[in-house]
Amino acid sequence: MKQFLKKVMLFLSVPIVLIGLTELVCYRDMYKKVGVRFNQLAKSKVLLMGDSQIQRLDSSLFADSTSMLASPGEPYYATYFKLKRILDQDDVKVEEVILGVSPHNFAPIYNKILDREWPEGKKSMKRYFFFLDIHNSIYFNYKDVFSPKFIELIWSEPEWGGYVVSENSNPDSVTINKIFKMHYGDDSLKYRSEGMQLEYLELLSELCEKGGIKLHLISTPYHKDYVKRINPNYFNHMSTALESINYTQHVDFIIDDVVPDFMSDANHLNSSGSKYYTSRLLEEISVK
Amino acid sequence: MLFNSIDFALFLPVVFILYWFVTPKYLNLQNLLLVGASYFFYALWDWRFLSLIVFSTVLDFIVGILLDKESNEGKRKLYLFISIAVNLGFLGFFKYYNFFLENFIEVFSLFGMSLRASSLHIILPVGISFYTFQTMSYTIDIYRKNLKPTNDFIAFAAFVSFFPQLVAGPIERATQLLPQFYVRRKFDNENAVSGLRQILWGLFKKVVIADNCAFYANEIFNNYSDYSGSTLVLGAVFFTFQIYCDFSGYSDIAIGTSRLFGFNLMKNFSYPYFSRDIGEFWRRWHISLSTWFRDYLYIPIGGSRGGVWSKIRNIFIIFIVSGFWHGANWTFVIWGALNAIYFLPLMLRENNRRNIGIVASETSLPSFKELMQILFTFSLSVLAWIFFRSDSLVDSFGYLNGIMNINLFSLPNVLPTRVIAFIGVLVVIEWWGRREEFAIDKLHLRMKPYARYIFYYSLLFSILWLGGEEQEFIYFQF
Repeated sequence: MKQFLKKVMLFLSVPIVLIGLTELVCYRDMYKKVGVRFNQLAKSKVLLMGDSQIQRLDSSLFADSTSMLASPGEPYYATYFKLKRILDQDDVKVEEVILGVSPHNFAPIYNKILDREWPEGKKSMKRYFFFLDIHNSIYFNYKDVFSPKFIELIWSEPEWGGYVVSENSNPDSVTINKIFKMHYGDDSLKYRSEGMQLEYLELLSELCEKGGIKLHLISTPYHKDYVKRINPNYFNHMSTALESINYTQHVDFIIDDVVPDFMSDANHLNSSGSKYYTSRLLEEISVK
Repeated sequence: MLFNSIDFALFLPVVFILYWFVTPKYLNLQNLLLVGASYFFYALWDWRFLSLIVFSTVLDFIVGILLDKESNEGKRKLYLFISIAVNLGFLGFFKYYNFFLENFIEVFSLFGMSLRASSLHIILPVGISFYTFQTMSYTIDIYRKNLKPTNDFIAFAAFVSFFPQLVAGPIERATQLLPQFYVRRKFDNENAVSGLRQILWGLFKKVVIADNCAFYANEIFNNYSDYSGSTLVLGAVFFTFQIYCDFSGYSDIAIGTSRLFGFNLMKNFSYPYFSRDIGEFWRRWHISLSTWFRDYLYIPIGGSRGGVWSKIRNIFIIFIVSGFWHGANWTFVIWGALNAIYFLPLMLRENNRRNIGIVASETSLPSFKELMQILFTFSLSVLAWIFFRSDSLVDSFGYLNGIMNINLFSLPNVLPTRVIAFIGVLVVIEWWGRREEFAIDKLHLRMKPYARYIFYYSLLFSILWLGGEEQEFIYFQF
């Protein structure tokens, strides 16, 4: 029996040592790279943060000292940790944060985005791992270190986000419906509030307040057919959320009568819409 | 808890050490440990459904004793009826309630009557089809006087809930497994090492082959209208390998794990895709279920005795029930019926037992005729799996319709060479080891130590690095 255990342990020790060493080397290397990037970002004056809606703003209209950090489907949980890591750097120059806030940010999709039982949720780990404070993460589990996929996780670059240009215009009802269902689920008429988004939105606001940073909230336009279908409770939820936090300004383009020519799908601007609304945003908040 | 999870990798060594180092001298304590570990293993899915297992265990334990004591045939039948009715009742409610309800409503609506009933949101308890069949075999065997009931409740509870095979088999017979809980197990180094080898091979089949095939099979089956005929054929072939590697991989891990604890479970798969006819295929595929249905359903209803029509009827009954056992969907029923149709000509010509031993048992390669027979049988099973995999009959026929297209002869839209190479490796290794209990059982005898370790580490690192997206075992849903 002891002989058996000895042999098994010896057999397994080879991959354990190899994997352990590889993990260590990869982790150190990536951690350094991510640290350098955070340091560079801390020198920006304006940070654009949020999900894919914010990614559609027009980069050419912003000043050079602006950095775009929004990424697709990004929950405030990840945004919070990104910003925290930036503000933890030495010699922080950040003065303003422009953050996307819209009703769909409180939709059921965000309940699932960090759910590791869900395919997209599994991907989130890879996307945000290096931003998180792993000691206090609700998402990271130390058991993961033993998983063979952990190497893949620490090998891959985190999702920094960036500008995206969409050329499509006048989206059809199928496209709008698809996105609507993705956000609100099949039983989309039923309202289900999302708790974690609000919690981290509040933390983001506190973080900005503590760092003396102006927080501008922006609700970028929706396609009018998409707006019509949203359960009003989500709008109410957003209003309540905004009442509970401190911010400098809220620029709301959802209330605009948006021309479908400006939309690439239900909630994303195309390039011409992006030019128009980025200019209007800059007029409103004067950070050009 | 999944076999291919970190949880299981931590759970198994802990139970193993407690089993062999802390409790080996006390049989009852060792069995109790297995019951505790098995309940813990199950509770990690959903602890609420543990009550079903406990209820079945208590009921069948009592029924077993009553059956043995009772000499009045009427009362014995009543006891057996209670056991079967309760077990099948659980199965029927959790698995088939909504199916029957929906179909009743549909049938009534055909006659212009509308029934008002709403389906329930019922969660299917994992493994219910497996452990209910296992406990039923216990009471049926006592009723038939093939088995004496046990007075040892702990041993019986361990038999019903034994964690390696609790959720997806093999479905063990009480006559085979229960006596193993009565005697002290001795650690057998050779058996344990062979068990580890079987676990390794099972994990390779599940993680590297099945999970990689699953990615493409899911994509193609879920969007079959977007793909060419040739891609749909490839998708069906991927599913054919996925289901085999998923389920036989699970069985290998279950059997290998049991061997670590000194138990021998029955063989569940014996290279079914090397079968030369469909009769042979069914003797090699999910053996524990096929033999269960043979012994407790097919033979009692007459088996191959009687006239032609009763033979045909019995074949259809057993295959359709077997299909229905897999799930409450017409697709499974058609899958069963299709296999019955495949099987009928063999049985009517009394040719169904002509291929008993493994193909090319004395040679290294099959003859041309054998190769053609293997390919033909394989093609029949690929066709049947289309029904098994599809979500509905409309999808099954849509899929088949998509195959019958001019682009059947074009190159597939999707051609994942890596997955095809994995399947190639599997076929070569399985062919090489087809005479053994499992493909790599005796491989070490033919290899020099360094080559053997290179081979084992290749399997291990493939599992760690080349595995597909983690998927639940398909048979957990049955």
